[in-house]
Amino acid sequence: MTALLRRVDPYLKIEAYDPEAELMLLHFGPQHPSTHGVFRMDLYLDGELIVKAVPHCGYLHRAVEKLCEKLAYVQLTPIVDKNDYVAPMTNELALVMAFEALLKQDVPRRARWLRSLFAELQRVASHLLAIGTLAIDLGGALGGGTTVFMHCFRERELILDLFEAVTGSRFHYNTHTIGGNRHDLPEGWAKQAKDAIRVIRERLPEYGALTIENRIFQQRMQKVGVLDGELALELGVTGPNLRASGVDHDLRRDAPYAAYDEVKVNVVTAQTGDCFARAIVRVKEIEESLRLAECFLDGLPEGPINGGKPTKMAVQTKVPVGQTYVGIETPRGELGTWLVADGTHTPYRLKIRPASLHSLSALPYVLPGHTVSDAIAILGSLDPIMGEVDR
Amino acid sequence: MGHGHSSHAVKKKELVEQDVRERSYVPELLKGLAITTRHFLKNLFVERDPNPQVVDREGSHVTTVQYPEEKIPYPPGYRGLHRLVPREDGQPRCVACYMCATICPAQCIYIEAGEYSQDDAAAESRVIEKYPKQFVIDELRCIVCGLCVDACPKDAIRMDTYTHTPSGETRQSFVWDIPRLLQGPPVSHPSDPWYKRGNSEQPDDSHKEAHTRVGEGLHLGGGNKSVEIDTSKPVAVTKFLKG
Repeated sequence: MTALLRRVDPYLKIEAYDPEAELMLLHFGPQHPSTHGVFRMDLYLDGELIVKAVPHCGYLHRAVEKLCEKLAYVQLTPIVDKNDYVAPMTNELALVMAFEALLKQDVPRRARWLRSLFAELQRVASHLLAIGTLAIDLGGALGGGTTVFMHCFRERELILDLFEAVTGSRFHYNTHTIGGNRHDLPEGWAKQAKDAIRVIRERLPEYGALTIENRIFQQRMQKVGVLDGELALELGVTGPNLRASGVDHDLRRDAPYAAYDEVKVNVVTAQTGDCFARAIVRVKEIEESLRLAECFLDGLPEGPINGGKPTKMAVQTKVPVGQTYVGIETPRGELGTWLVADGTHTPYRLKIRPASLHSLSALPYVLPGHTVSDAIAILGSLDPIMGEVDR
Repeated sequence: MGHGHSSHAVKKKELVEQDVRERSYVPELLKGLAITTRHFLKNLFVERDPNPQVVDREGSHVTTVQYPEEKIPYPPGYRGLHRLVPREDGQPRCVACYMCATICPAQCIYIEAGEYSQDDAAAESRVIEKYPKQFVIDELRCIVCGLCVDACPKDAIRMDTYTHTPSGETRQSFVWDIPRLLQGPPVSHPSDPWYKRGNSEQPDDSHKEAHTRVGEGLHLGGGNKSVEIDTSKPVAVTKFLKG
């Protein structure tokens, strides 16, 4: 750790107003269109150059973990939907997998494949949003960024329509329960899904031409915000941010859950660790997730979708005493649920390990030496979601 | 600068030297503009296909649905606004068992139970003991999770109106009571206690479980019908008043 601290010291004390130091303190946020939520960064600037950056989160804190201590297990699924509001399927999955681990509940095969299918489609939707918001942050509302943003959201609508047909709601699905899923695929869904996947795959090269292959984008993003692989591992960064720094780690392949042990997952990595690498990893992961979604759709087995026994008072489901941690690969990284159960119908303690929080903790190490415009690019490429960071 | 700010030794990242032609980024601008202009000209001259299923549109790729002239139909099973399901005699099927109020994560349902007297005239009332004197849902607090529909044992609450909460101007107007919630044609299941069953071999709970997804008796898939809101009468609610 000392080798890293010698490079830059995030805890360096700088006086807020020091006329001889000629440093300006700029509050970046919390009301800012590019901070991906309510998030504040104190940037100490020497002209346009960032000397020190202090991130402050907590503006979206909603006491979700305290609420989880009060609500019954069955009621928790719609609550954790709202953490990472861009990828709710994976939120719910992390939660119910923790319950099933303690209840030693078996999940039928069709439910596991459905969960993986939904998770992969959710990954595509979430990465589309990440690329879209990154483009609009770089280009601005009036500049060229809006095009990519609108195109990404147009494709995302296809996936949201798919989820609406299954669960009844475009967002905040409430479709995972203890023991399986609550909603099964309706008639004609497979064809609709195949159409959506085909359309997204056709339009993906267009985003490439507007972003990845665009020299303006490349020059803004290459060599900017280099995150060392070793530093990323020490900070707990996971997901596409870690894979763009050269570390080959993906929970879907290394610690498979749901139906991932039955398919082959190709992990996308990049070596440079700059913003461009993170963006291109996300674009390539969309392609990979489309392929995986087709795999899951083709091989979906028949059978029941819920293995739990139906109870009249679902609210009284009691989980035996114990502790467990379950971590899954969300579009942002490893989302974990640490559950301490005490035998009653509410958890004793439910801690959610957010993936974006660890990505944001890399900011004091990565930002110094860059300009303010680079700060926006770095923040956008890390893809944080404040609902998950603050819970 | 004698304060020993070692952080000033932070190195600025090196800037690439570019000449004027490279710095104006004209080729990249033209490439990007070519893509958007292609879309623009196609949308300008090719006729827009008004198919509400946007994926199946042919011709131009305009994805706008001109609401309210064109509406995308909601899929079956859409979780929309709640409604209370009536019986044949016009009363709600609800027996005030408090299952929905207990399971609601947002605690937005308030029920007051009343008891039928033993010598009531109506046939249904002699067989059922309880009815809701007040059944109030605060639609502003509802998180549209659908757990109340799953929990109800009597098929008394459903979310199959295929519309969403209409807008209101005060917080009080979002608090809905029985007259506003009671909608739709009457529903009876063979397992209901007011049917005199011929033999005891008939199964107890033989009604379809599909009521949680597809509305029985209401127009499927795209009613989009507007709900009449009567804000003229005051709502007698004891729980949600803030003084």
